[in-house]
Amino acid sequence: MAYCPKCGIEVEDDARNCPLCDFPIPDVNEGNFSQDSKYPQAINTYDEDHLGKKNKAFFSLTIIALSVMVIIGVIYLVYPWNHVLLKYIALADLGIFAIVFFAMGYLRPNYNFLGAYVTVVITCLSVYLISGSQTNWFLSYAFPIATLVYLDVSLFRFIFKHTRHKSQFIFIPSNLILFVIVLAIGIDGIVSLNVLGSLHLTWSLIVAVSGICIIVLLQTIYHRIPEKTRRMLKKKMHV
Amino acid sequence: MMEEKNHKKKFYSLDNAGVLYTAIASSRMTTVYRMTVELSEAVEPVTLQKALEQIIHRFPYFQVTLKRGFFWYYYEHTEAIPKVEEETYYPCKTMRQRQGKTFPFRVLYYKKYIHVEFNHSICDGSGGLAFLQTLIIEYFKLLKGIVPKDLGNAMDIDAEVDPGEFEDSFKVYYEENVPPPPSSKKVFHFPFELLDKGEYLLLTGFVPVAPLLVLAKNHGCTLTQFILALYFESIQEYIMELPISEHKKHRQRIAINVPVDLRRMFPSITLRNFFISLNPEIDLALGYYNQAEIIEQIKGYMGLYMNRKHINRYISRNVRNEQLIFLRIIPLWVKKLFMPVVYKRYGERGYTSGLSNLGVVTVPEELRPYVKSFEVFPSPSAESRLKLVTVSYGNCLALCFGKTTAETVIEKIFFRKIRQLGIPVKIETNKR
Repeated sequence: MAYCPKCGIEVEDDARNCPLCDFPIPDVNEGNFSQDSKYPQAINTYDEDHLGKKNKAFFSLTIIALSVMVIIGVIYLVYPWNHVLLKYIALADLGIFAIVFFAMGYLRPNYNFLGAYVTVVITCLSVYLISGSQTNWFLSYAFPIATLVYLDVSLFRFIFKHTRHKSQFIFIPSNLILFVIVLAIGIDGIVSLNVLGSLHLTWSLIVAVSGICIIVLLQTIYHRIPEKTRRMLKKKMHV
Repeated sequence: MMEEKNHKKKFYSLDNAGVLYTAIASSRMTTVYRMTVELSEAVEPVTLQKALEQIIHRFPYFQVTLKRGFFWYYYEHTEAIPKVEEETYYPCKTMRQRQGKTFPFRVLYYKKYIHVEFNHSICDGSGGLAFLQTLIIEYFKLLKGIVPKDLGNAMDIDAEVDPGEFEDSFKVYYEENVPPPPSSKKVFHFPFELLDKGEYLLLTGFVPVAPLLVLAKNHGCTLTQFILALYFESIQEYIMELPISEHKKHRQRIAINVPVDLRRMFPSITLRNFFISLNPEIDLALGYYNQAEIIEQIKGYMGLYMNRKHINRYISRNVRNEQLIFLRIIPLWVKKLFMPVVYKRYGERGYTSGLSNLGVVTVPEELRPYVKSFEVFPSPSAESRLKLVTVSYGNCLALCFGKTTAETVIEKIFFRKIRQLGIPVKIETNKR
């Protein structure tokens, strides 16, 4: 019989540390205790089960995407139909497949997210090249906005990662509002740069100011005003 | 023969609690609980399999497989025979469903232990124990030729199946137009880091019953209430030691979910689910509670609420919710999507942890030398990361914690408290 010197509880004979406080148990049996543990070394099958289901879904999607590509390819080669439309369909097929692949989470989250961003940019570039548009909308709008959203979501994820265990009613709204503010300023900036040729923010400033007010209010509710500031405010406000 | 066929129903609709359990089941909230029995010798798997085959026809309502309907799940009778397996996986593993040959329970063995794991959607602890006891009796009948005179709570496998054994007692004792109980408030939840999905830890403390009973008697309360008080005290002590501001400590309330076996309150013999949970709580905004105050609080709460009138409010609320027409017509896959969220919001938010007392388990006199201990473990849950089930057998009370966290601070405080009362504790766990 072995006991934990700190908790005073009896432990199993083969225990090296106390199951409650992790304090090392003196080896009273001088090393020749019976290997008679109550439970086997358990196997966790969650990943295996989960991966099996995921693989099945992904496999069927791959087959569908492949067959669409084959059909499009055959039509393209043998049937003189609207070639531009066929290119669009093939592009959509590839794009959707890539996005689904990244959404399935086979890679690490950061790579998946980066992959989705690259897919969007490449798809936009391809659409731009296929359509042969006169205006340079890819470089002036599509690429900057995609990059902006990518950076903005990265910021959101970073803050969310560090505040996820705190009050969700305070930090998720604050974080969302911050996301919207950055997005608004970015889009306003891109539009003004393209239309006016200079950075001239207008409506996004209203979004930013009101958003920041709400964030400050929420954070004040969470952290409460420090005693010193409160005293100072009381004095200034004559209350 | 004809009569037996009448009882072999093809379909069993889920009972009121089963409907909820199947809708919220996931790979973390598996809704599977475990019952363990320790024998004096190593288990003979071949005999155990034979015993299982002998008794399964007596439990036609367990020889079923879960099927997906359009609006709800349901259980369908299967002719397949369940197989015993050697324990290799984590306890209370998810039950793969919808394959036609899976059962809502599994029988495992490892060395001297027999484990029976039941999906909570088919039966509660009381029904599960009846099955386990019947299995043990049959096992020893085959192994040692022991035929006990008094079966106790176990089923006589030669007797007819009583339709009352698989009735949905919630519906039978449901009364219309009873107002619903007050809704629960948000309470303290353990801020522990979760284990990986699929993992589950068990920790049992064995304590002698007699000294605890004496202590409970001195405080003028029941054994469950005394253990509940110790558990409340441990959680309170834990909160007081947390590195948060005094102000925040005083905003916490602790509530513990205590299921009440309604078979003691209503004349039901069902083996399906038939329980309602009460939530005794202490509010730290009113100050620090000492042990005597906690016991008074629990006694008062149970005195007020553990009666048929109040319990009826819960039953009628639950049955009414199940019968709401606009809930019933939602397709199952939509229900599967939002039910876990609804349960988290309205169910689990209202309690910190759970304590379920299954009372005294007995085996027939003749088997007592061969059966050493009983344990019952709660089903895993992400919101209340630590739950406790107590069951007593002979002179031994098993305090069985089931945890989805590796943290042991609550158990440490809890068992050290019992040690300080001068009661010896033996700890067994599957943590490595």
